[in-house]
Amino acid sequence: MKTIDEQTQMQLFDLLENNLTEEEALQILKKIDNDPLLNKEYHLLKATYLNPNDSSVVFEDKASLYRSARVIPLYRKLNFRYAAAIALLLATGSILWRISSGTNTPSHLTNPVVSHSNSQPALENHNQNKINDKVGDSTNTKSFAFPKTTKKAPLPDLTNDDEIHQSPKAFNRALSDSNNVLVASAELNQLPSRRTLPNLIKDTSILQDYELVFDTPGKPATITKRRSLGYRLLNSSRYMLANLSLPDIELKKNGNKLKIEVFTYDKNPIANQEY
Amino acid sequence: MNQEQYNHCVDSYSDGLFRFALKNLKNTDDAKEIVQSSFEKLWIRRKEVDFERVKSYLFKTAYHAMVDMWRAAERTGELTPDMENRSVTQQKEYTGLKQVLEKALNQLPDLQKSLVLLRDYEGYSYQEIGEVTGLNESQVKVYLFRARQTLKTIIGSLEAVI
Repeated sequence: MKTIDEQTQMQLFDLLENNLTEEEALQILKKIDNDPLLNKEYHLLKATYLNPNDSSVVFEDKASLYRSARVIPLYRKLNFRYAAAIALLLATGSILWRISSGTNTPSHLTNPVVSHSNSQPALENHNQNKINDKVGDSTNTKSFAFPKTTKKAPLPDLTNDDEIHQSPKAFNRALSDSNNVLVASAELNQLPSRRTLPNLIKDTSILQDYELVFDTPGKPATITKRRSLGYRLLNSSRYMLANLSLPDIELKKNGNKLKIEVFTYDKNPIANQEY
Repeated sequence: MNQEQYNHCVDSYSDGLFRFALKNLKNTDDAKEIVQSSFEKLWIRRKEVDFERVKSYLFKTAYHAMVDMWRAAERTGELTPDMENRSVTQQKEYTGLKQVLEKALNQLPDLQKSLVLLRDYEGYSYQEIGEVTGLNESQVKVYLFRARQTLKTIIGSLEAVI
């Protein structure tokens, strides 16, 4: 039985693969025409080629492949576990922050906060009376009335020689949290230092609403250190006592004057002075 | 490659890629999975893949995914004949030579079948096929020659039976 050698098979393959030159192709085609067996082999080999235009197979789920430029909300991207972890971290951070704040808070500042809810704290009454006594003017003290809706502000014990400081963040928060005036340091464990207070007020965003005025035009307020001085914010739901002196400043908010009264415990207060 | 180009690739190549996978795997779900995963990888690496070479990237990705499937099937003993008997949807009825060729194609080794599909359906050159399969041009040509010879033999015998 006649067979076709492998070299000829390879020539047929090359012919169908377009691997031959035109001359080589004509030569093998002539052979095919003259040899029935080779012709059959050629057509059989040609039949092994698939039709590239076969469109019987279609991927019908193209819609699932398309991508759009829509904005995916962040919460969809976040895995629930990540969200839970973030929430846990925030909660832990908040607790730690409160704990750390509480540990730095002198007892005379923290105690009234704990006890102010139902009954009037004894310490607060005591401190208020103490201040009123020091001021010595009952008419002036009327303007220091505390609104019932806000937290009670404890009075620092100024007989304590320990210096009290307030962090800038806490001070700013106190400013921001106020309704229309400065909130006292009910939650604050530190008061502003004498040097940082002017800058603190300047830097705080509340200055967008307040206007800082100094008693000496053209000169910045100077606050010098004197332990026995404090200042009180009139027209305020709160008052703040601090180891400050000469807070020759006046704060205005939306046309509402915010008065600062300076007084000492040794002398008569610098009362009823509006700055 | 931007989003618009990517979607254009979906229009241009998803059918061919699905056909390539389906002919190789003979299972519609597996073929769909191959297509989905290939385009997913393309989307992830769209900034790295040159738009001009997307087709090659897709077929290469699909081919490697299929090789992994074949190997996994070999390990678990899930290969033919059960696999071959699964119904192949999307295919219309075959008649005559086309049906014979389909049967013959399914009897080829996986590698040879992939080469034939890439060569015939996608019109890839030996070099391009080599990029997809990891073979050099000579190997591609030799494997294709062997595949044609096998197909020719099978078709000859099947035609004789029919």
